[in-house]
Amino acid sequence: MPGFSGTDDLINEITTNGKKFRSQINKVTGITTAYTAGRAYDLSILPGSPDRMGPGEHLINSFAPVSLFNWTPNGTGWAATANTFAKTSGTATTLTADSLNIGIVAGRFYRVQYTISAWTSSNVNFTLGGATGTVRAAIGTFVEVITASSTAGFVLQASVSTGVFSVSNISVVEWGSSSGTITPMFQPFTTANSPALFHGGSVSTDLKSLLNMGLMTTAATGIGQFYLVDLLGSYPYIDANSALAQTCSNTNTLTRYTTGAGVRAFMASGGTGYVISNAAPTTVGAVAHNVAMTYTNSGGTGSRQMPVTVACTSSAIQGHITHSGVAASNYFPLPLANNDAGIRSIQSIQLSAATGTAGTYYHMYLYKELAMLPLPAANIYYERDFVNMMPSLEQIVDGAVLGLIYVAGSTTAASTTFIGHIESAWG
Amino acid sequence: MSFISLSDYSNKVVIGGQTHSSTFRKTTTVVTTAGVWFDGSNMSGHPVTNFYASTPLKAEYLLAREGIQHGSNVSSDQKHLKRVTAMCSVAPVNLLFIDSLLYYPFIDGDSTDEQVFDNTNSLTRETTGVGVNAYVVAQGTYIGGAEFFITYTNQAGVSGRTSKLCRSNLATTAGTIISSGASSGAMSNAWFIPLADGDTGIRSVQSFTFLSANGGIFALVLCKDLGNLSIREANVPAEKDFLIDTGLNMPIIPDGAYLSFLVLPNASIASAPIYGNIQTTWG
Repeated sequence: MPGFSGTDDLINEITTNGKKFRSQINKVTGITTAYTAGRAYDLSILPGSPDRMGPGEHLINSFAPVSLFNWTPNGTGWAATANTFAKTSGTATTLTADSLNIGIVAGRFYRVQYTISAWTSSNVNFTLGGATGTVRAAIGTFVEVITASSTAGFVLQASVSTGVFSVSNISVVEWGSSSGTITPMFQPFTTANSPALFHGGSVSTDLKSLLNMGLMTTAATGIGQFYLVDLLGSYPYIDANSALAQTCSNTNTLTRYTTGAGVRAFMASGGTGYVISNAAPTTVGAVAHNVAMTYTNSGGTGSRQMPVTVACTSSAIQGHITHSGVAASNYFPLPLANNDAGIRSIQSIQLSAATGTAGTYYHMYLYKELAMLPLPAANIYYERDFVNMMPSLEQIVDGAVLGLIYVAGSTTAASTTFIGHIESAWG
Repeated sequence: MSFISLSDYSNKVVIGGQTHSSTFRKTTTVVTTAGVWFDGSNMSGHPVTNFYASTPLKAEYLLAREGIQHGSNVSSDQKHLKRVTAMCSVAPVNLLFIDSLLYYPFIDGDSTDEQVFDNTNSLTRETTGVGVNAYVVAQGTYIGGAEFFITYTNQAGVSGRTSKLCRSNLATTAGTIISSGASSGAMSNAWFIPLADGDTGIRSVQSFTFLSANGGIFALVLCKDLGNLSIREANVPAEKDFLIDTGLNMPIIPDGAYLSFLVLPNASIASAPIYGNIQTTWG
């Protein structure tokens, strides 16, 4: 009983000391595309509660802004309109991110991606970490890598205050080298940089445990298997149109489960980046491909490889775990070499073939499974009690970024709603 | 005070009689929509119907005596929800028991102006706002389809926070929680309004804005989520013992709590009473 000396102590901590928290879950699948039976999906990309999160939001969460919250213009002319930062003629030129989820470190590299969805006039660029991005003056999605020379934050800027254009899908992630598209950097997820399901905050030196959880779906096709996981981090923007070995940088390392024991990996489709929930999703190319990786196991042994061929399936659904499903050589999670107990870090990821569509990406996640809950029928609230049912009182580590992975039991209709909760306690 | 052990619980509740049971029976003539949450306090029966009728846009309280009865004040003891049972002739039906803390009535669904709330009254329970959520309930019929958001002060006292954008469903009936369901498209549709990143609750709400005309009038309700009960089969009582079934975690019911439930039906529950009872304990 981690954190509790016994049943009486648990009761005392919960009822007398109030050391507990209850959080709600409400996720809705996209409105245009159904999920495929047998495949697994990362629901953290979906809108709802908690809000969507993704590996492209490590530093800035503004892919589809609804307000200028956390952004400051230096005058008039900037507004959040139709899920974009819309610039109209006014007195302002710059729009500054008031804070970043992760601080910029001088000497490190940062991959910046943004979309100019409408453009009439003015040059458009950005500054970050003392570097200035390339000037743009056209509609398009732009990617570049800068080398920071200071800790300065992100500023989007127009060359003239009368400029008219719209920008969205701003994504800044740390990168492994000063240029190129195939050197992702591991980025740890924490509650400080990711909009995850709140579970009561940091409680050290107490230990927090999962008391119970419940889930239901309102759609008859929403049945399946759910995993509650701690999303530990990701290697974002794996180039889906490259068959080269993509070298993963590990300047950043696991901040939880640091040995890698029990840590597993999955690779999810990210399409071209982010889209608002009621827009058409994007897909990686359709060329058939497998995925291979080398990793360091939880014992610290490097150059480990998966023991079997793992096939991917192209999908237009962001969050689709591409190697899951019932087709030949589909596996979820990514299988480990014989006798390995977990992943400490990934050294390289390689697709067997370029998928055929430039500018599309996968994201590789590391995660720790905490609990599992089957959902065998619609409209019935299924619950797990982690005190009286095994496994008991799974620990939730400080900073844990909780997410849900859904293995579809049938063809899951678009706009399917999942509702649930977790309760945690600590002592 | 509360319970410090199972034996303490037994002494206070079984031997000491520190427990209370009460019943409820709620019904509505409204044709509810499958997959869309409905406000049980808006249903008639016992306890009495709540219409969120008070001064427009001014924060107001619901009285404990008009909610599901949970016993008298017990301070300095602490009261818990021990057990609930319920049944209905329509199933499955899911109930979410809540403590309604504060509400802002008569939000104009035809206005796209920022509607500023009067916060003369503030939270008297869960006063920091940690774990406090908001939902929007229709006080009459409406058209739906409009997007909306709120600005609020979060659990840390930071004002000017903006919720995620929500979209009203098309259920059109009074008592409906308009941000729930998926029929109008997936735009942060949730039974509670999704908060800004990093926020874990609401201390007060400053304003409400529709981005286009939605029709109708609405109340914004702040509440604390207590626990669920799923009625799985028609006319078969469902029961949950929070001490046994949820990891010894009995929800806390503060003195003055307005206890009610939200309903998520699988089909219309028009003229299908939801009835049952609750047991509270304290120590």
